[in-house]
Amino acid sequence: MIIEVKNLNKTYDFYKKQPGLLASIKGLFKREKLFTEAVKDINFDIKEGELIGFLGPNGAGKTTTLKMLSGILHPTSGEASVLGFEPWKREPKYQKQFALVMGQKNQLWWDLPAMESFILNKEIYEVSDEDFKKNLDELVELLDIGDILNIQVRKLSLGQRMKCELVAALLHGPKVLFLDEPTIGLDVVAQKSIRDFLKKYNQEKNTTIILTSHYMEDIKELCERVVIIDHGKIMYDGKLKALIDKYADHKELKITFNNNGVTREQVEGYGQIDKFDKYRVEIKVKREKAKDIAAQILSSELPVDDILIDEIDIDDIIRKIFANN
Amino acid sequence: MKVLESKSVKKISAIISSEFQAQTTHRADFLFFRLANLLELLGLIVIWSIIYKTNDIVRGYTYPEMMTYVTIGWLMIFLTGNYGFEAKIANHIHEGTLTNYLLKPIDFIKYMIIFSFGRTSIALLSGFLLQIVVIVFMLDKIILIDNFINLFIIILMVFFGYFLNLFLSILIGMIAFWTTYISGVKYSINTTIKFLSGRYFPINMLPLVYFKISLFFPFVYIFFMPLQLYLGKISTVEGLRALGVEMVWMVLLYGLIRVIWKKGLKRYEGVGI
Repeated sequence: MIIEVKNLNKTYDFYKKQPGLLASIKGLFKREKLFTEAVKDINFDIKEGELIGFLGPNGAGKTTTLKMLSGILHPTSGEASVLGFEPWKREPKYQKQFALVMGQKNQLWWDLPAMESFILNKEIYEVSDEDFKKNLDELVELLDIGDILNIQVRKLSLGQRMKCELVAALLHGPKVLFLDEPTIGLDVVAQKSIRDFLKKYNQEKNTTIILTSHYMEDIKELCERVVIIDHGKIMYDGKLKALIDKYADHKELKITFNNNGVTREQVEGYGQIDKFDKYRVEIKVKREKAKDIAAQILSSELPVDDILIDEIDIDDIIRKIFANN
Repeated sequence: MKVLESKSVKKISAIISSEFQAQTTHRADFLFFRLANLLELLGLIVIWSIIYKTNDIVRGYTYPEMMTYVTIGWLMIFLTGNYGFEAKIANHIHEGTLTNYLLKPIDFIKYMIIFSFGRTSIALLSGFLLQIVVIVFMLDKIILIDNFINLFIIILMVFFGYFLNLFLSILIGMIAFWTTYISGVKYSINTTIKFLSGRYFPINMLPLVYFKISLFFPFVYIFFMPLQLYLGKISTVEGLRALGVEMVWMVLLYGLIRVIWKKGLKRYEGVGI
């Protein structure tokens, strides 16, 4: 196991801030201490080369967990081991073998071209000249950013910057990579290129990756296994496919019609209509009946042009899980 | 061992060179800083010149001595300044960019000390050049030092003064671990430092008791003491003693930085700023 987490807990303490002037003045002298349990007793193991998705709403404890695994935060209790190290001891030997990329924070030097930050990282991580050149060339090619390396970081677009952040984080060839919302705020094209890159990188280098994201596309494309966290607790840990099978008891039939199209009444009988248009209808049907109903529609007199049996959107499934709890 | 050494040399030069390059992007800003410095200095020269119109000696200082105190003093300010380094430290803590450093196999404090060389280099150089020009213009009004042993001690005091100043700034910056806003604290501490180090006026112009109090703080050794040695108001031996005290302060402050850093980091780890 590359990563082992046992009964990990993290409780933040902070002071209550009362609204109003009087209360603020009172607060200067006497403050009430409050506690939030960000992570409650979580357990999981991760094997080498796995690419795992952490899912959960804002404030669920995903980032806190990643921060503990990368040694920035001390847990309140519990154990964790990454590559055989206790992360929060912050041993340089461990630090040279992992990287954390946070979509909302940057480590590149704002006033300088990204290349300067890469060189600085090279020296800090003590990467040899050969390895540096090899890794850099490879990453630059994979991400297709050869033309922006010498432009001041402040002048790059968010997508370009994120790609450079990834290069900066991967130059020392980490064995474990933590990604906290790497695609946040990016447009669809940039999201996809980051996604494609991660997939390829994971496959080629067998790097163990934990990824958190709000975008289901990211998770669906990249992660076989997902861990769902809510209110600091793990709600689900397993294959994404199994999750879909368990919660997605429906499938979606997407049918296109030609000629004069159809009326609502003609298709109503087959299942619950999600979207209706004369030429395009989406019907939610029971999973096990999907094939039969599709066959029925095809053999009916309706002017069917095309029919597609689709999984229900994963967002819906996640929403359902959170709603149940 | 040799491999190790060359690795740290490479690290150090990479850190300094990156920040040096970043600083060069603020060229125009430097020009305005220097312009403001010049005005400040001019203000001091004008005020003291007026005072000396009616007095030959003010609290033991002759006119040439006072002009020297001001112009050579400003040279020292340029050489030992770190231009708001406390804000740099505080921002890293407040904005959470400290995290970037905690992830990497480097020591943040050592990194920041090395970083400061890159950060101050251009300011130091431009200030130094400006001050040399000012000194040339003031040549007929100031005293030039002719004791080279004293000059050497002064150079050492200024060199260590840089670190004393830097360590003080790092300490002030680390207050950010405990409070969200440090500008008020920063302002009052910096003003106290300026006052006690003799930047506003020679601290021995005050009654003796205040001067004695100032000796218990590290600040006089950055500015006032080397100037006293320059003016020959203290002997070489006294200068050496001051240098010794300055070095002890430097070690003490570095130790204090380490203690506070450890405590602050505990908090940072706990709160997850």
